[in-house]
Amino acid sequence: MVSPDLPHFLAVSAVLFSLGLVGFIARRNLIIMFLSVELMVQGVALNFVAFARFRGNLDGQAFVLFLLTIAACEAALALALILAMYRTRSSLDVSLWQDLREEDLEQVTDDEPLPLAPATAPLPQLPLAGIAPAKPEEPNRV
Amino acid sequence: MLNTANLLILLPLIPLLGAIGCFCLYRQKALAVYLAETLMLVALALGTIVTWDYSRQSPALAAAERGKDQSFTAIDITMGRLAERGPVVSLTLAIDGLNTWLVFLTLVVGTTVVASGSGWTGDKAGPAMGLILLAISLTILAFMSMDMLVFYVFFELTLVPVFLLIGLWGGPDRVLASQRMFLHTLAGGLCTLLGLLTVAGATGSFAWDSLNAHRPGASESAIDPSLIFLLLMAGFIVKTPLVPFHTWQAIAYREAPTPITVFLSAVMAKLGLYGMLRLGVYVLPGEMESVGAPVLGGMAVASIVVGALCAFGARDLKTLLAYSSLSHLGYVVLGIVSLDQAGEQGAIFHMVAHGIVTTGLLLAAGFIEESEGTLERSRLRGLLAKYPVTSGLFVFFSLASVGVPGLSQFVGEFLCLFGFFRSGVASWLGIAAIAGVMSGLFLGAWYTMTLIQVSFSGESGAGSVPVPARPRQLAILGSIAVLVVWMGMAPGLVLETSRPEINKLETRLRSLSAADARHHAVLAGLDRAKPE
Amino acid sequence: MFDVSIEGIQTLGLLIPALPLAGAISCALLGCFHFGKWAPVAAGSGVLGGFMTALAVALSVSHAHEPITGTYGTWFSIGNDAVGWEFRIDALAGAMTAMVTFISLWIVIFSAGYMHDDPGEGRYFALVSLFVAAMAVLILAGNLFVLFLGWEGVGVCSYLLVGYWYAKPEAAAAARKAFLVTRLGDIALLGAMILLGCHLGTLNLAYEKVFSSPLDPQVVFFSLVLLLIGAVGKSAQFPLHVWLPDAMEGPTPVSALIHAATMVTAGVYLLARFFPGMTGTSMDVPRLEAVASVQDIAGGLGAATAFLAAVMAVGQWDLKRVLAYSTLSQLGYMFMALAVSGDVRDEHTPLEVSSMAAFAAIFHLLTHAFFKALLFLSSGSVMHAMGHVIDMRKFSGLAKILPITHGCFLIGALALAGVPPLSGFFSKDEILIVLYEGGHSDSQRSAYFSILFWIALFTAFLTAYYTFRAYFLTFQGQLKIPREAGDHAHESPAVMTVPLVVLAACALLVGLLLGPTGSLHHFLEGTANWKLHESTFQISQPMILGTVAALTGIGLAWLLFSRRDRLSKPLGALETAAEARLYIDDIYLAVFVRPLATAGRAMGWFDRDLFQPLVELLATIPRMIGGRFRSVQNGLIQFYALAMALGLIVILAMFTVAR
Repeated sequence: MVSPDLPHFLAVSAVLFSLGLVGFIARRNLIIMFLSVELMVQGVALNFVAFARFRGNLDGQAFVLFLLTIAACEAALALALILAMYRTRSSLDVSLWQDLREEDLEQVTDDEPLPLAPATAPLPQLPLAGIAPAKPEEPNRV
Repeated sequence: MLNTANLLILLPLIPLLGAIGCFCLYRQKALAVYLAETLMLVALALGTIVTWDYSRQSPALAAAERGKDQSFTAIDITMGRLAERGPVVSLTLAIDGLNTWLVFLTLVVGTTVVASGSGWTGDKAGPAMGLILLAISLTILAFMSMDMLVFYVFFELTLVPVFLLIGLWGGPDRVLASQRMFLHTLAGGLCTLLGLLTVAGATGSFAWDSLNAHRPGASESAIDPSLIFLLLMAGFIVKTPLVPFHTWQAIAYREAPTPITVFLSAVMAKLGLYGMLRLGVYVLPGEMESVGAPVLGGMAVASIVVGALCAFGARDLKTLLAYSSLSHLGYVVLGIVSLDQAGEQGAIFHMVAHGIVTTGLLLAAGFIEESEGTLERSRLRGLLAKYPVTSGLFVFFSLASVGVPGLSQFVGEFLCLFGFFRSGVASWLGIAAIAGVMSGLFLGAWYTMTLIQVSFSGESGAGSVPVPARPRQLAILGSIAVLVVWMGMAPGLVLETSRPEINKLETRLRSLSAADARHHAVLAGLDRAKPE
Repeated sequence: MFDVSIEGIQTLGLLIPALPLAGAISCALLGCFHFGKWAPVAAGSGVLGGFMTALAVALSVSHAHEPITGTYGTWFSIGNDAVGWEFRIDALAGAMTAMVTFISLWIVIFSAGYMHDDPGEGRYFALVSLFVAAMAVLILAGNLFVLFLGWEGVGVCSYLLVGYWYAKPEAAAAARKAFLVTRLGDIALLGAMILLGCHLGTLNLAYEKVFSSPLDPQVVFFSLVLLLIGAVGKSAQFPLHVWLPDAMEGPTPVSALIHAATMVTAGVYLLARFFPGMTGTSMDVPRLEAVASVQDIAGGLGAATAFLAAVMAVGQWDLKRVLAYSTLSQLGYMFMALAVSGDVRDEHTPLEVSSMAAFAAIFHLLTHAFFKALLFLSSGSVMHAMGHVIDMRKFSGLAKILPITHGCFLIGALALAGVPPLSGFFSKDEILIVLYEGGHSDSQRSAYFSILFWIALFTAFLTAYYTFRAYFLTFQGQLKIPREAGDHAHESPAVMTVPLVVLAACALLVGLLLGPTGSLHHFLEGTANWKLHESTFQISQPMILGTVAALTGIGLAWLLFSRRDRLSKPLGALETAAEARLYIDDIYLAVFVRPLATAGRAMGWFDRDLFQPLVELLATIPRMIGGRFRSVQNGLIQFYALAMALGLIVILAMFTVAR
């Protein structure tokens, strides 16, 4: 068994980074895109730690601490933004958001519309019989 | 005895202060106009005193020791270096033989423009007057700068108030006109900046005096001097303008309010010619002879002919006067490239003479426009019958611009042509130059006389009563007419002022000739001019 | 007789133009302040002062054999080269200024009556006085610059006077035509000045300097050709003659002054100075050849003008136009006289031959001024009586109602035709003699001079014919008055008839006094650069031939008039052509005027609609380039990410591969 050396760690981090990159470019779901970004960040963090380990100083690890903090803040911001965006278009599809394009370019649309998940069937509604029991009002919690 | 050189700094300062004052008087229209007129009259009076004093002294200065400083210096402040061990930039403002009468011309034109009536400004008289005064002040500063970089800065700065004036108060197509003027002139100016920095880098200084004394050695920059020369002249070629860079002129002159057209034609065009003279003739005379004479001379001859032909086909009066200006300034350029004493002195004289005559023409046209409402040639008929005095003065100024001797333009035109043909630089262009110049002289009379016949003579239409000229209009046009006759019959004062500087040019050409055999032809001409 | 010092003559010389100039300024001021009716007095006094001074100067200078130069300051100077206000006063200048001011005086007096009711009197008399001043400057000029000042000055005054009634479109068009055609000549004159200045290397173009400096024969030739073109323009010779007939649109006294007596003679005066001057006393054959070649051209143009103008005059119905063409014809005579040049082998030196030729031209100039002004003023009197109608078909038989005018016109017509012993006979005879002697000399050009002689003789016949055709049509036959005359149809007031009588007396006597007695010859001996040889008056063959031609012409006119009473179209097509001015105007219109106007408009179209959009095309290039790059910005985040990734790969590749 070969002892893990710097190139191995760098390979792993490279794989993580590229997976993240490909995921960001290829996926349409906003949350999945965000997860891919986090994956890229983790790949970079691993890279730093590996160099810290094999150079013998702790600069890399210090930087990873910064990186994790920033990733956490970034997560909060990103998810808040995604929530606001979802509320506006009620979809997590990134291709709906092309408004920053040049004015005379057309919106890029799919050749065939995506098969959307069927709308959830409405819950069965019984006809009202008798008097509805009194229910305490519950506040709406999200 | 009051040292008039001390008054010199007031000449650009008074209009500048007036501009600030007028901007403050944003709402008070009448007060702003009154302030502007008063301050310009004061500045004009001071300018007359200074110019008179300087030009009276110049014969003595010419006879005095050559090489002595012969200018009235206003201020001389060293501002610093562009780079470490780079050329020094100094704010030196002075008048000497070349720019004295140009400063005077700016003051005269500025006063007449401000005094000719503010009807065109509408409600915003304060800002308009402020911008005009600012333009006047910046132009005077440009003429008075004795440092190339400072000259360039003021040269480009004059664009800003004029751009605003045309764009805000002009005719229907004003936005296009001001935009085109600004972009064309700026593009040329950037080329000039490039050339300027190269020259300063090679010679190590921005100041005229040291450039004058500079001996070209082997340490010149590696770039081809002809290219540097053309780059340097580019901005001035566009500013004057010369064919084929004249496309901004017709529309800008037409769409600008008439007093601004006066300023453009009489003063701003001379900035370009002045730059050609200072930078081309004094800094790079060798290249002026080898490159400038064929290229600039050819463009000048083309301007003379094209300008005259287009003036005939012009559809309204201001466009006609724009093309007429294009045509006449071609003669000045011929004088500048001649490197001949008669040519150069004639060019400087013609700059002032043309400025005065074109002021008269455009102001008279402006007064007619106020009453007629339009200057389209197809609608102007019988003007002499309708406005006898104003039209009569327009005809007088037209005859002056045709070149009748006894009126100012003849002396300048003749000396420019004489210098051009005598100096031998014309051999480059040969028959084309002679044919172009001669036909230009005829075509100039042709379109002028056609204009007078079609638009000025003839019946004025049923039931119209002759309109007398207002006293203010008469005063302005009358004083310009007096200036025209004075300059025509007694040109000595204006002509002689530039003699010391032209003598310096001769010294410089001789020193260059000792180093470089190219200049022998021009000097041979100068030698022939010496009395036996 | 007059013993005035040189300084005195210099001062008096300055006064000759200065007094009419002062008169002009006073008239202008009087006109501005609504005292226009006093303008004739101011103008008259100015011109009278000019005349007295000119007379004094002429009489003082007649004995001097050196011209007197007066310098009144510097006009402008370049370095040590100065152009001064120089006058050169010699016998010729004295004689011409005296003639000009004398005729101008009577024309001013006539105008006082003719322009009596015109509202712009101040402007009119100011311009006439200014004209007289400019003409005096032209004649007295001592260098080419002052000459050019006077030359253009009379041109501008002529333009303003022909277009005096500016509300009339024909007058405005005629004024423009006059100015532009003479401008062609003026440009040539300017070219001559530049040429001479470049080759002499100086701006000091005083006549002495130009005549005495050694110049290449080529330079002499070209500068004289350019001066000739200038003279041709000003004196309205073929092919620049088209402006003179149109210029009759101006007031008739203006036609009399400018287009008969003074301005058009400036060209003849210039050449009369320059041809002998450039010939000089050196017997340098190439230079003499150069001058003689230009004289030949001058003679050819003069002959063409004289003949063609006479033909055109035959077909005219407008009385003033007949007189205009006759002016052209007589000026052609003067040019023909100037053509005679001498050969080195002749018994007289070339300078003597040229001087005699110039003398003949000047003699004819002087007498022509008197009788032509007389004829024009008489026609003005006729116009005044006929309510400004001048078409000869509309009136006739006026001898009965306009007796004084009739008598004066008849004297003028006889003088023009060259009937002895009136003045025209002596001066025309002088020219015929000069041409005849040239034709019989040893010169290599003698055949050419003979041809000119016969053309001159035939033109004399035509001159007599058309002059008396006009006379018979106007004054003889049945009395017929046009409607426009109203109650004007009577003799003109004294202010108009007195000048007529004075000029008629001059036409009668001047020739007798000056010619056969040899007094003019003696007087002009003192002219600078001339050398006149002795000549005596005797009956000679040319004289007889000339008289016969004149009498034949008068006889033919009388014959046709008494036979047909209308003198209408005996020669059919030729007269139609003559009436249409031999279509020369139409040719010019088609070949020069219209194409030039089209060229101007085409250039305007080219600049506005072709060239400017071309430049604007340059401005669209940044926009096009920008447009290419804009499609990258499509708003898709993942596309941007992909672009970033690709860019990163490229940079990494550059760093690794380039290593």
